[in-house]
Amino acid sequence: MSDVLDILLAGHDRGDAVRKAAAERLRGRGLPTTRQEDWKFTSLRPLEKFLQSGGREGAMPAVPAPLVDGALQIVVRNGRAEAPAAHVNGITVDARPELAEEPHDSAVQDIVTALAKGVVVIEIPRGKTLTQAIEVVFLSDGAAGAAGHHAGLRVLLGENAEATLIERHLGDGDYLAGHGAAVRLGRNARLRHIKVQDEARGAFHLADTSAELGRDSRYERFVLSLGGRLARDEVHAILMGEGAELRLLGAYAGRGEQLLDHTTRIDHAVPRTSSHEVYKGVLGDSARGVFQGGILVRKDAQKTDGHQLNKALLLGPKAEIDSKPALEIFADDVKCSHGATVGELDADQLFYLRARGVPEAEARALLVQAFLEEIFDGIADETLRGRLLERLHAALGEGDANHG
Amino acid sequence: MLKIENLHVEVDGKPILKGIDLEVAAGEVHAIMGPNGAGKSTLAYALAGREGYEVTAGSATFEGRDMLAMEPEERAAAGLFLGFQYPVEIPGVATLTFLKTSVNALRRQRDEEELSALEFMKLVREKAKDLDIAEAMLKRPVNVGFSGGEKKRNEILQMAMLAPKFCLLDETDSGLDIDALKIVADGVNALRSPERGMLVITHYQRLLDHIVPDRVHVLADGRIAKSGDKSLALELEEKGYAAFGAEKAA
Repeated sequence: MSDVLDILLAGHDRGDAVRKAAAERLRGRGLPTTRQEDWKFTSLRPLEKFLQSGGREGAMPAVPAPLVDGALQIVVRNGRAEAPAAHVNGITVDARPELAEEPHDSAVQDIVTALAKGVVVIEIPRGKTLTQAIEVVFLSDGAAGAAGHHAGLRVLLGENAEATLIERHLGDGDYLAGHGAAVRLGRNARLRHIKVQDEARGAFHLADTSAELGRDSRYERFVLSLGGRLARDEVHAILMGEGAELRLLGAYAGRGEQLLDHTTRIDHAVPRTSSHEVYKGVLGDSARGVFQGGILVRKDAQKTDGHQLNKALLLGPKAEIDSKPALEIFADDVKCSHGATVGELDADQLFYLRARGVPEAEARALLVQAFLEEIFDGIADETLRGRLLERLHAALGEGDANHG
Repeated sequence: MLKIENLHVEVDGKPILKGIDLEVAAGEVHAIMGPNGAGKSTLAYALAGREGYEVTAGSATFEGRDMLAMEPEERAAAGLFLGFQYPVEIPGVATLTFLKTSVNALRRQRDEEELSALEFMKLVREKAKDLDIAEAMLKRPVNVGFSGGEKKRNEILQMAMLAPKFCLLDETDSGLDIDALKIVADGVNALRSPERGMLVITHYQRLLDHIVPDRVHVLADGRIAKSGDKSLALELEEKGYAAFGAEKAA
């Protein structure tokens, strides 16, 4: 185990105090194992093997057209931001080397913090409603060696500020990509955050998003997970001000031997906050999905409204989902619910479509899309929703020939 | 047009149809009546190709083609339409999307050009109007939250849109009040033509007041116990199924 960490941390633990501290914590705890509750269903053994053997190099992908027309694009290549410091339209976009200490405890965060080359900082000042979307594109290839490329992202919204942030992850080859995002919302701020995880099929994607929601703020996060051989998307959100609202939506489609893990922890720290969380996934072949949804309602957090739902469709004979809700409620005047369903395609629906002339493969695709599209309904911008659905449909239509 | 010979069908290893012989020519409307459990729906599903309805003997040909060798979608492309007794709900798929997918899937299989969005909308509006279906209903997911009558009208709308060569209607009258029955029957009658065959499966005579059949068959215990003209339906209504060697209707 320790030699794996040596490979991972080689040459990276000589940085500043924040990086050093993260590297030390990581050395102390080691890479997560399935003996730990949070990692019970997601084994990092494939990552260890990859670190020891290295992988296939790929070609650096081209910068894609933005998902929303006219978006301000910031490109991060192999962990290094190419965006120069800029003041665009009243906002600040900056690529800085120094990292901030994250208050929550997460192995993924420690890996990213120890190894990140820098952080992209986006600041929207108080009172500013940004109509232009900001799109951060993370591009990766296999060139950086086994330790991979890691980058941070900090998004700070002042009081009454409003913005749309799009995060995209693309790559080619076998690599490890680590991402740490920190979102801070001031009083009455609004952030729509769309993440599209479209990594190469041979990639490892480890991401941690922390969010702090101030009074009456609203954070809507949507994640579409399609790529990676092993991808873990963690969200740690804390609702710190009364009236704060959190919406977490997730859609994922796995095939081949992919493992797609969504782990979220929502901390209702004060009274009168609400969270609404829905994740839906389809898993074909031998793909595996993991959903862990933690909700903590602190003792003083009366009138909390928290709802969580996880649904999965298993399309392959060896496909598997592990779903674990974890509600810890210490207040007594709260509304909290959770639900999970796992199923196969409905044979009656399938026959109904086929009896109307729709060929079986097309009928299956239609039903799978219908299952996932509920999540996309949560995206208000029609153009964006249409483009994300196009990407989903293309992914569902792709065969497994390229699986690495 | 449709020719069924000595058809035997099992469901879960249990024989349900025990030798059906039936022939429906183009332009004819035949009715199949029978008590519950006689095998009426089994006949419909076996002809449409539903999984789990295993044909153990006999044949069914459509315009000379072996229907039993075809996938359900191929049977639909050949021109067979099954109107379901219990149309399923499909959350997440708008009725319009479903109709368009279906119309164009059939056109593709027949090497015809797909309908453009405009042509499709024109067609669907025209057919929906005839059947008294509001456009708002077409935007809702397929059959989700539809009343029994709305579901059946939706079936007839699909039939009108797809213009099949042969209509197989499985207890289209179930769950309909008298007004809805009239609308559905009018929709079916509008599709009667010298080129089209129809097989109407029903439990009660009342549908046949509106859709007058050329021939009536009584299905009992997996076999056709008696065939006759439309007066047979009236006779059944009067004497009950027991007179034809069938169990009393449930």
